[in-house]
Amino acid sequence: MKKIEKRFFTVYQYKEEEDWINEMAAHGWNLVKNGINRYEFESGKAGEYIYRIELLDKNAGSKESQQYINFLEETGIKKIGECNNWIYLRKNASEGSFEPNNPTMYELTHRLRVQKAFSEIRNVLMVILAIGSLIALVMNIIEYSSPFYDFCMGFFEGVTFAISIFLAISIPMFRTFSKNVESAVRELSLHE
Amino acid sequence: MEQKQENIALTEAVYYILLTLQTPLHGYGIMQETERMSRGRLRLSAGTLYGAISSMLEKGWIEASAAEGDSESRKKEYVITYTGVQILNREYSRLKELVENGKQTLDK
Repeated sequence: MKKIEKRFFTVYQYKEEEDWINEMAAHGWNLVKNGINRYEFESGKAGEYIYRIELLDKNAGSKESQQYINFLEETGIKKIGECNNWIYLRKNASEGSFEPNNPTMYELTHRLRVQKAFSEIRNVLMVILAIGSLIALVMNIIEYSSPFYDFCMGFFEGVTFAISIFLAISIPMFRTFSKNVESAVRELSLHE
Repeated sequence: MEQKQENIALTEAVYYILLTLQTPLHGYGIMQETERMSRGRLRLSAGTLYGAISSMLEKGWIEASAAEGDSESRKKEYVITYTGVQILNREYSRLKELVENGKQTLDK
């Protein structure tokens, strides 16, 4: 029997997403396919599998990621889905958990990867902002007016304004990222 | 920098991986052997193992040994190198020192 659920998790809610998938598995609904917000479950034995979502450094289809996925498969872990750089893994619960040997290091690596992904988006936005403001500025200086010209000017002003607001809002998020990373580093000075 | 890095303690996973690779083993073999040696205490997770293997290959502590059959076969085997043996011996001396000092202080 199959069941399709629609849910949306943001990138930073990967833990909640993983917990939800594992809870479904504990109730006998095993994830077999996933899209951005679409999850396909198949009924099976409750608690047969455990799931894990991992963020990779590169796109799941890349050669490096493929090597890693092959390695995991040799050890009895199956990849059941992917979404950009994220892979969805599952293994038989009888073969032990996914728990990494060094949880702090694992968390740190994960946080740094999430942070890197966000920083890349921010960099692209900043470049667009710089170019957009420059165009808007030049258009303002040139004394010319036509409906199309005015529309373009408004468009560039609008885009740069929206990006500025977005960047300002993202400041606290980046602060949280750094704080999380710092606390993980402190923890590492105590434990391996 | 490189020299300094190599004087720092190895992680427990790395220490065991180097120990098990005195003979060529593939990933799953390393996991089983580590678990056996530590009497079930240390179960290496696949992610930890993969990360450690990649870093050690890069540093030249271990190498992928030519597996029997076609070289493109997915199951790669790994084996310790001469540098790896040196690193392992240095760590072994360091651990002995730790245990020795612990003994002197705690077993009084």
